[in-house]
Amino acid sequence: MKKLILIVGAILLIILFPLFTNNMYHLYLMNRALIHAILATGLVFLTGFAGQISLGQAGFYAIGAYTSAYFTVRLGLPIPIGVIAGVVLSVVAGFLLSIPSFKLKAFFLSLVTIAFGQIVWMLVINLTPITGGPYGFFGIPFYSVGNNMLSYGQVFWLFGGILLVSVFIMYRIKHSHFGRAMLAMNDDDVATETCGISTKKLKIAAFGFSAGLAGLAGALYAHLAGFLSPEPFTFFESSNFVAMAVVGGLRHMSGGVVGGIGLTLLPEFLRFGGWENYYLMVTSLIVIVIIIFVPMGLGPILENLFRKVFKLKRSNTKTL
Amino acid sequence: MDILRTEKLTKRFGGVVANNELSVGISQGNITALIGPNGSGKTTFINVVTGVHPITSGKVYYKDQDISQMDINRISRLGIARTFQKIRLFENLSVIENVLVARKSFYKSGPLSVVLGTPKFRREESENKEKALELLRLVGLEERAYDSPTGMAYGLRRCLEIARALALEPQLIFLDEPAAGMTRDEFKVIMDLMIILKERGITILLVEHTMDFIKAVADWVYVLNFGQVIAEGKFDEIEKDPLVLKAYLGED
Repeated sequence: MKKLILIVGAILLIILFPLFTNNMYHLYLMNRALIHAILATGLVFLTGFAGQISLGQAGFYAIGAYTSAYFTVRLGLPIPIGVIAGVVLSVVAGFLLSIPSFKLKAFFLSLVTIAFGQIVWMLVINLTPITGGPYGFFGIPFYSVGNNMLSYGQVFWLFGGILLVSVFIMYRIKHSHFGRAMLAMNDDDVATETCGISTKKLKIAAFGFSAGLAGLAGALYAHLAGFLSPEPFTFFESSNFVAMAVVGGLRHMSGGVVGGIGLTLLPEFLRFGGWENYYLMVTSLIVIVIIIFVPMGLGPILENLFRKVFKLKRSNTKTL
Repeated sequence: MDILRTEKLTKRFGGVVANNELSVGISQGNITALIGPNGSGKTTFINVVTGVHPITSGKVYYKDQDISQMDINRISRLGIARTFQKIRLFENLSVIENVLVARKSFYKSGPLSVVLGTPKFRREESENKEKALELLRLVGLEERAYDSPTGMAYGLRRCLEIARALALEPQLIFLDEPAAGMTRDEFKVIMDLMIILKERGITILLVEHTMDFIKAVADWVYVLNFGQVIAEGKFDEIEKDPLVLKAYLGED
């Protein structure tokens, strides 16, 4: 019952939103917010469920973006092929980045992932023939069906659908033997192994899944923006993605969605609400305040609100 | 027949030799006890045999198969389960989920069937839940199935850990001080449980300090000191062994 209300509600929200606004900038911003939500959802899976850290998600984001741009512009392939190629390459990179996690934890693993992000960033800047380097990558095709370009509103529906499917996949995985094994690994590696579970395989899968979603987000971004520069792929962005997952709720199914959308829109609200000089500083302060006072993130708070509104009880077998 | 045997098993931590050329055999169907003073290498023995610590030298055979270099998870899937001296539960999972984690290797559904929610996956899920509930019933935790294990009484947490180990459907189980820190009643529960497991044909290796317990259940006893076996035999024989008395009580 609760699930049904949630799914119908989410679909309605996605369908209705573009019909209530025709402000291009708002729609563009919402599309960026959905892209961030997809990426942050992958981080919730990796960090909140499987217990692994990545401060290098911008690296996968870049791999997805530049791969799809290269496939569509230089090789002249259709956008879906470019996006799939971007995802596949990111997943492979994710598999490789999972190898250090077999032995490393916490700070040491963070450092490796930061290094990974930096390596990709340096490649973006220096592999000029492929990426355009600091000059940028121009002329990336926008979403279209046949000869008709999609409107920002239609793109919103597309991204919203992709986000819903991503969250649904994550939900199903979490409530299965795979999800239980990942949550167990998050608590105790050795005890999980003694339950007959290969934690190496789980780590490979978790890194692959989150890298895939980051690569997907990057590819979707490339075709939305039509132009790529190295700027959105820096370490600053990686840490911003982690902030989204944490603010939304690392352990919560909706964490990536809430954090991704919230932290994309918040600075813009502030910027146009008379804080144009200080909006970045205020955003960071708000993040700090949320982390101190609501360490579980905003997702669980919204869930409780939702329960109160619809008068639902917590089921004892599954948690959202 | 020995279900598990070691050949000159040695484990060094830097300069400390925790297990020194141990050659022991565990008879199938028996309750074998491993006793010895603190630091004699009992827990290390369990950790080395179950793959938690890599072996320095020597061999471990399980049903004549060499498992010396295997990963922990493969050894576990062969049917060797264990509990830990300091209880290690998954605190973020419910009681029944703790048991279900150890059922993972019995699932055949891949990620695709999980995402699509195929009937096969649903059937597997309900079968394994049933199995987990059955184990919780055995250890007396059925009522608490959907509670969090955090904050549960020590004895119940120990029972949950044993239920989780049994979920692997093991043929051999290592119990590292299962009765330590237990009340009289909890102690009795564990002892009855061991008898039931033995009746079901599960081989048990027990590390314990409580002599009453060992006297009541153990078929065979190994006594370790400084990483070596100093005596073995039935409890009545061991009790009188001068070497054992010396190790425990010191020289007069």
